[in-house]
Amino acid sequence: MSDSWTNRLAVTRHGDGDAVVFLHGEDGLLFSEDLISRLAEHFTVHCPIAPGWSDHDLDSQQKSIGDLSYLYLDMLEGSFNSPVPVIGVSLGAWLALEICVKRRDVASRLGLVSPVGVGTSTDRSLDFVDIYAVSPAGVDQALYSAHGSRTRSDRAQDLDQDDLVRLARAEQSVAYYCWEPYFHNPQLAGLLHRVQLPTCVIYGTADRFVSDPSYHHKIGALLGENAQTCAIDGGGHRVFEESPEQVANALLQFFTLDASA
Amino acid sequence: MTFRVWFFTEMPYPHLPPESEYESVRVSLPNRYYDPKLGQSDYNDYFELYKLADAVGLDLMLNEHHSTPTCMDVAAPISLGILARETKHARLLLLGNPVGNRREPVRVAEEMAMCDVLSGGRVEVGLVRSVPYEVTPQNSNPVTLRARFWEAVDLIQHAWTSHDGPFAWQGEFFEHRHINIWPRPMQTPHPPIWIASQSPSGAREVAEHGFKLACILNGTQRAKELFEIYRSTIDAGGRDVTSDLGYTALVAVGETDREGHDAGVLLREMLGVSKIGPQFLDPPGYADARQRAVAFPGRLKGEGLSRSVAHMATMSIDELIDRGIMFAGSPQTVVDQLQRFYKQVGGFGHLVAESHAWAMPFDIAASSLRLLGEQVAPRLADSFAE
Repeated sequence: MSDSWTNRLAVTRHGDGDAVVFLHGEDGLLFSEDLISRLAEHFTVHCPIAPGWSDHDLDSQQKSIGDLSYLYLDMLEGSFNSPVPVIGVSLGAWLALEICVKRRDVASRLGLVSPVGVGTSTDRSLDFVDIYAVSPAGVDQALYSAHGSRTRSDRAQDLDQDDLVRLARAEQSVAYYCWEPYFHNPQLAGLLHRVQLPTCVIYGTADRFVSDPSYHHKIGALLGENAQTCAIDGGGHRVFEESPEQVANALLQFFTLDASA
Repeated sequence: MTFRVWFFTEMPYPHLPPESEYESVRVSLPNRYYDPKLGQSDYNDYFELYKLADAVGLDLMLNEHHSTPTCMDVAAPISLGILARETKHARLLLLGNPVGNRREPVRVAEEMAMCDVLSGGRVEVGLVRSVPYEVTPQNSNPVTLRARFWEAVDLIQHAWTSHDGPFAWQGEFFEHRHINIWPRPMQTPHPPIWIASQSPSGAREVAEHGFKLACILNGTQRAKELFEIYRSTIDAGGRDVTSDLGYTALVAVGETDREGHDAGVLLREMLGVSKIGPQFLDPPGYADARQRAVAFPGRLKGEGLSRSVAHMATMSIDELIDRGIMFAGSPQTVVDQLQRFYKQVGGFGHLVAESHAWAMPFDIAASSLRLLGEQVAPRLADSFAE
């Protein structure tokens, strides 16, 4: 395939086995290492890192997650001969949906963990807690369950300077894509019927980032009959950090079932 | 060069409950604390001060902020329009229009052109990127703010200087099929443009564009550094650029040193009105990621961030004077202080005097700016004439 993605997407690979693609969330690969490690026990996990989160700078040609999805489509088309399972966490799940409403034949199935990106609000309120208007403690409260999880604020205390810069660049990239419209593509809800792939929406029952407790079920309904939901009891929005083992098991179960179907 | 002195108040609303009762004086303070009756009285006082400043020979500067009681001039072009009619002689500087946040730069071009005509060509136009804590109330993406700001500046200039009918604009942030502003400005090619900047890179950028540079409460050393960068960067074709440099300071003038000092104490209060939620002070993308990363662990814990002037609130008046942040005393004392500052920074052309701030009573502010206009400004003009 062309250089359009190889020069802009940094890809790390972990483990051995059949390929899966992991689409990172708001903090890039930081804090998702445990989940990736567990997946890498069963798969070769391909982790493309978007411009802005990697050493590549944000590209002004890409102004939305929808724009970004074309770069990933190039990567998927250029890297794999057949459809591969795609996992996305939070922002990465949004990206996975943007990819799959455009092309149905690059992914074989979707594991969406705490997805964002779909506007479901009917009363003009925000679908998600405004992380730019609440205190850092309030952000932690929105992203993590109340079970004394180690939050990103806690974990940031242990990061070296390079990773702190990575985290600052990640925050900048999230603001670039998610400031307005806030963490969603207003058109995406009306396009989800196009996905038509086996999809599992995994979420924590204590996700306080979403304003509507039924948000994940609404996404499942919009995706149609191929979609199922899987609740992780007591998990927060960052359930993939808080409970990587449970999330990995849910994904494995879904992929195994799907593969044997 | 004619050294000019400008009077400035942020038009504050100081009638607040104790700081312990609210989280942030910026962005999130509920407007139930605002009493419109008191606010109307304050507005009257502020416009009277501006009229008095005009009468005693001072020029006038306005600014604009949002969602905060520290500045009630939330639509500064309206104030500029009022002053265009209510004053006779003063130059009128709006420093500035927050064009990084305003979504219609063409509208800004129209507003400034209208005020320039109304005032008979007395308007000077400041264009500012905005402070970090206003991107949230303005819903202005901080990551693209700088690029959007400079495109808006280009668009405004183009709108002012195009006189042959409509033109189209297809930029990264703004698109128009038909720009043709009426009225056009009275001054040609357009009113002087000022840009406020507090950083070396910002001062360099302003100089590269050939605009006037305004520094605000930086203190002697920083102002000297920024002015030197400006002088060494600008391509002025040998012209002396001293008149392109402005400095904003707290200025309190009394009949005696004691009276000026006491007025300075009242001005200093504004430096302490700085309680701001950390989420508003450091939006992602406003500052460089490497710079943000340094303070990241503390910031994520909600620690260690404050408005850039907050540390000045605990300084003594003498220290503020020594650092070139405040000039206070009798008329001759203030002249002496400013002559020293002028030499230390290598010269500048404009003193923007914040001679009213926060809860300073009207009478004290009026007395101070009368002395500033009648006794300080003329001596400075004579002193810096060469």
